Amino acid sequence: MQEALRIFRKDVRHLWPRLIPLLVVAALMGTVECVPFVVNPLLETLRGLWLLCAAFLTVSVIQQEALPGHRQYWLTRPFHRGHLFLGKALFLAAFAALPILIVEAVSVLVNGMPLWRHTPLLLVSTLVFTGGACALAAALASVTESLSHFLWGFLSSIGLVIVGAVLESRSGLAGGWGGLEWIRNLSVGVVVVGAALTVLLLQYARRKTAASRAILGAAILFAAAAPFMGSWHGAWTLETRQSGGPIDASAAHMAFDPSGRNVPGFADAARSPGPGQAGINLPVLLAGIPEGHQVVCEGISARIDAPGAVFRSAGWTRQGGLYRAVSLEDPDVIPADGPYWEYVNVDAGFYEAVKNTPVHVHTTVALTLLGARKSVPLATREQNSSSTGDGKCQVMPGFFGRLLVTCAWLGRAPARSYVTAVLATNGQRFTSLISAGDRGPFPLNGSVWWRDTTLFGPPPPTHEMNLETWEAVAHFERDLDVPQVRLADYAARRITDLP
Amino acid sequence: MSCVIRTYGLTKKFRRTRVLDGLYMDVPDGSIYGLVGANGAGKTTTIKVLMNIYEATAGRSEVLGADSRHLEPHHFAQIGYVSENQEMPEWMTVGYFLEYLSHFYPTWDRSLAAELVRQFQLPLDRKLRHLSHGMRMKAALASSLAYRPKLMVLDEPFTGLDALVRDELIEGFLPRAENTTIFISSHDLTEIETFASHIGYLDRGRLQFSEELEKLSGRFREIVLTFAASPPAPGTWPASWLKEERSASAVRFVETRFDEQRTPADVRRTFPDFLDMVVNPMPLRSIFVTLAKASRTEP
Repeated sequence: MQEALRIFRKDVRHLWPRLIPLLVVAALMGTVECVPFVVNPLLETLRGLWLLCAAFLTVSVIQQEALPGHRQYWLTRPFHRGHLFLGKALFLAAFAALPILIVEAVSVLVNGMPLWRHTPLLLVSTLVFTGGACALAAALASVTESLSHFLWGFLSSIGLVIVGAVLESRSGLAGGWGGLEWIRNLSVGVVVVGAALTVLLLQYARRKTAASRAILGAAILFAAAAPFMGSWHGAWTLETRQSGGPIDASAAHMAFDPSGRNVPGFADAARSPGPGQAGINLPVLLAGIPEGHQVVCEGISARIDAPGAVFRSAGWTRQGGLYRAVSLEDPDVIPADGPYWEYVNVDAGFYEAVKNTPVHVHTTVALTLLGARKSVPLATREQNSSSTGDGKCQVMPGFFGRLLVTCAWLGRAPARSYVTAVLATNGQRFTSLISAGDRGPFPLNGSVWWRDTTLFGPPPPTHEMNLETWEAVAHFERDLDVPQVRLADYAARRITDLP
Repeated sequence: MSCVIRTYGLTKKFRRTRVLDGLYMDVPDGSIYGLVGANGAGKTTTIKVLMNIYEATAGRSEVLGADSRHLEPHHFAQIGYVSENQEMPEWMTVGYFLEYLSHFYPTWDRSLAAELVRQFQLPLDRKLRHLSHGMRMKAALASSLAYRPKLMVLDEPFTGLDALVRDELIEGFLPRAENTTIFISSHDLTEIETFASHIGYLDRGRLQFSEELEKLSGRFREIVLTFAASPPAPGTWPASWLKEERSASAVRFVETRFDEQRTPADVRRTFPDFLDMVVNPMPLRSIFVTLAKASRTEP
């Protein structure tokens, strides 16, 4: 330990000028973070800047005693590699992780939240963010000999991940995991950080640079290919097990409604087909939604059997599902028993071939039951914030006479949150969705706060405003089987179909 | 004979290039062992394998009785390593460099360190990056002598140094290395010859010979034979005679196994008609050049 502390002190002595930008950015982040209602771009910019400074500091401290190469003085000196690693880890813990922990703790205290209750959240959030970022930078630094070599590796890695993201957006998979995106992000993070730790272990124990580079390269390729990997339904099953209780099989069941309802027009429908696709709007009746609850559809899987042809959706998709037509509030939420629509995307060629033939449609939808509704009044006078349990909201004047409502939650955000305004004059109710929360236990970006914003307005002269939150109380699946249906009767309309 | 360094069939390949080819070498305890050889012979690679900087492709080596692949910090605490192309912590001042390192060596002698600083005239407040090459070597040497290592490994320490600095270095470390085995690789054969007790000659990754310098000098002789007429072509040419040169009335060659009784008899048997024979002792440099040239003519 003495040896690790000596290495730590030596690094501080040499690298203190490089600590200053990191600490300044952390202090700025702290100042901004203490105001939970800050607009996201500023905080995200500071966070990006902090990551760059932290990466620079990490590569600087690791390459003080570079691991690849054969000319370094320390290789033939009595340095214990374990102590060397410990010295570097201490340095990063002291100057990268600790400031972030302090910043977040201060933001919790300043906003009147009990620190002791949120200590585990603070520790885990800081460890995941700073530990992950520093482990990745340290792993890359440990297999490179100089800053320029590191930059080359860093930019190549970023480039690969960007290519993956571009390919994802072109394939229409972007955001395809919805509220379960955090499971995919966390899984990829665990694999990549696990690979980074393996590299560090291998380098500090054995100096196996070629093997370490191969491991790190494979991990980066994995991260780049992550959007195309994994099973949404697997994540859904995991989510079903870890949150929400069991639900009675008779609750929230659905049936095809052949009563001859008019298919919603383009203006009324919440969904429409993309290029090369055709959309089917099936009328369904939902019944058995428990009192005081509502249902939201998370994904759909479909199979259509036609004479001589079979269509299967590409596994589970979020490009479809249950919705309600003509809703200014939240079309994906089913508030009570009644008639709704189930939207299915099918291949345009398949549709054209079978649209006038009776086909057999079988769908399964993944549903979340929302309950535990809470409503708290929001202070509407400018600059006043309202406490909402583990969160805070603020209503501020926005552009063009609108109201800007920003809410921030510590740790896990509610599954769904709305801002409602009731006019004092006629009791008319306006609702705006503020958060269709990522259900991760904490943000993965180093902050302990989830922030969401909505624009409201222009406001009427007198009104009262509330924040309405819902929690996910159960996850379940429901099947719909329609033995015979003619798809052409339920074709969704595109904007180009309008007269 | 106890040995501080031993190698057993050490082989090192870089991709397809075989730099060390089954090297067997013993460095006796207390010796000053000079490893010599032409550029690319494998001297630095040998040292880097010994110091566990490179991993051997095959074979193994022992340093201070330990397998060199498993050298631990307590072994390095007894080894001083100085290389002409070693990367130093350039930002450190000489004083801080010595102070920082002192904590890692249980046997660090502060008064010896101070003495070395004085002797080498090292500027304690100057950063390593601002030192001349000679001063850097002196700083490296001081930092490697101050803990009285059992083994000093010096890889081409005199390369790029002027004669004065070379002398200062040698004068600096030799008197302080009485109980230290010194393993030194160098091109500077003239310097090596002044203080080495043993010489190993490395050629294309193989040790051609390894012996005491005294014995080596004793068995190499330049022989010049004078003839009345043009020297005759001998029927058989002994394998131990190298670098044959002829003139109108003389033959000159190097005898690599000189013996006061046997060599004149061999000469007379090969050249019965010579008039005069002059036997000259050879400096190490000439021995090295002879061997290097001879090895180049071999397939």
